[in-house]
Amino acid sequence: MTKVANVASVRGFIFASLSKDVPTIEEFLGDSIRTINNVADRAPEGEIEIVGKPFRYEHDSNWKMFIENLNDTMHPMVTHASVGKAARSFLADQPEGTKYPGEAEIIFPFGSSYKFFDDMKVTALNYGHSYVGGESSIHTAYSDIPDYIEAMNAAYGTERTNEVFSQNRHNTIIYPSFTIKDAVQCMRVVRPISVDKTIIETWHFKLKGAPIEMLKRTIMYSRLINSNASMVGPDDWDCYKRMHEGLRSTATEWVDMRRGLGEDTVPVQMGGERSFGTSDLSFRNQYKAWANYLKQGGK
Amino acid sequence: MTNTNNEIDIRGIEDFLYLEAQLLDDVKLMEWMELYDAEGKYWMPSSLEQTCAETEISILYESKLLMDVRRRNFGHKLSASMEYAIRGCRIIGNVRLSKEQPDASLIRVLSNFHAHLFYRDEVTLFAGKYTHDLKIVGGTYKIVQKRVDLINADGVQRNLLIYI
Repeated sequence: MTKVANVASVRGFIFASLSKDVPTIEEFLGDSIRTINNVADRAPEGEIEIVGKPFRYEHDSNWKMFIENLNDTMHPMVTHASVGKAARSFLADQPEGTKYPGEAEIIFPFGSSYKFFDDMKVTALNYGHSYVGGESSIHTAYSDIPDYIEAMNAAYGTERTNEVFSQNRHNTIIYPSFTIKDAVQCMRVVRPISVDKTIIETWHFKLKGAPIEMLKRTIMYSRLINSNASMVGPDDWDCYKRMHEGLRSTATEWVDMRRGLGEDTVPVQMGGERSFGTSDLSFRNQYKAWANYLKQGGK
Repeated sequence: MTNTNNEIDIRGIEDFLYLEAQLLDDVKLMEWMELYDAEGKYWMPSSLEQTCAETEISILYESKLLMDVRRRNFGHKLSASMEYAIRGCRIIGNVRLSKEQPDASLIRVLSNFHAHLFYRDEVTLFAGKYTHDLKIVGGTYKIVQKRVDLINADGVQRNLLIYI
């Protein structure tokens, strides 16, 4: 057994490195630490708890396909177009004024426009991390859950509570290991098995001190999005697989990731830059980090 | 249905389960949905011990709203995963009444199943236990809940495009 050279903990998430020569956890995570903090800050008791075992979904493609997809805002309206259309066709057949359950809130934003995603912005950080959203995301329009806001206000006061809720990131990628959401309490860990086999593990969290409805929403979200039987997962799966097969071809030398290249970006606190949501900024940022790791020889 | 002695018609229930399996084999999702009560649920847990669909992750837990969206999405020409033929062959056996009946208005029926699904050049065998909670409405059965316990519920999962 190799001794772990470095261990650090952030709100109960334990990070370990086999290498002695690594940056501090604060330097490594940069602004992405605010996503992890925000997940826990959303609990009236300031802590989260793991619920159940992770859900495991096998993909026949390289792990990079999944990681890139999580901040790819050009894909939902194409890859998930059929789900958006099926949902709209369902809605059109319902009587006016029909009230919909929570599932509808989760599925319907998948038909959102390019502008909607552009306005969410993408932020690329050091070491390959990134996130989409910030002040708004596809989760912003979710309805309030009774008693939750009250429990938060009682715990932190209105000002601090509003500050916690003002952060709303879609997916934060902690490169290359996992992705996490703040507004919905789940996390997806990337387990590369071989060059063309990846298992995605989804972990779910309960906000301590929050009404059980918050956990129910997280579980519902995850079932509709992260399950192998969801209406979105298999479409992503198929695109990853096709891209992976396409990359075996020698017909083209390059994969184009120039969208937004050379356009103005805004610097962000703790190191990083922000661009319009559909920019390829996060992909370029990932490959920059990956190239650095390769140069270091995996040390 | 029940006969004059109020005994449960297990043969009639078997026929109903076979009909449900047949509609899924033939991918007739509209007709399949109609076998469910308005509040009916299809539930495939992610562990055999799972007791709650709402506070623990499931592979599937679908209301009629989701069944309806899913049927409209099924085979959609804009869906990459739906470009392949999906064929199924379900065999149901060991049909019996559950010793534990949840509620006087419901009939809980247990059965075992093997389901072969063909998708993306692969045939996959799914096996497990069905628990159907049925009620009798207007002389016919309606499914209040169908729970599908796969023997590999907590194993690593691959794409599942249709109800088992």
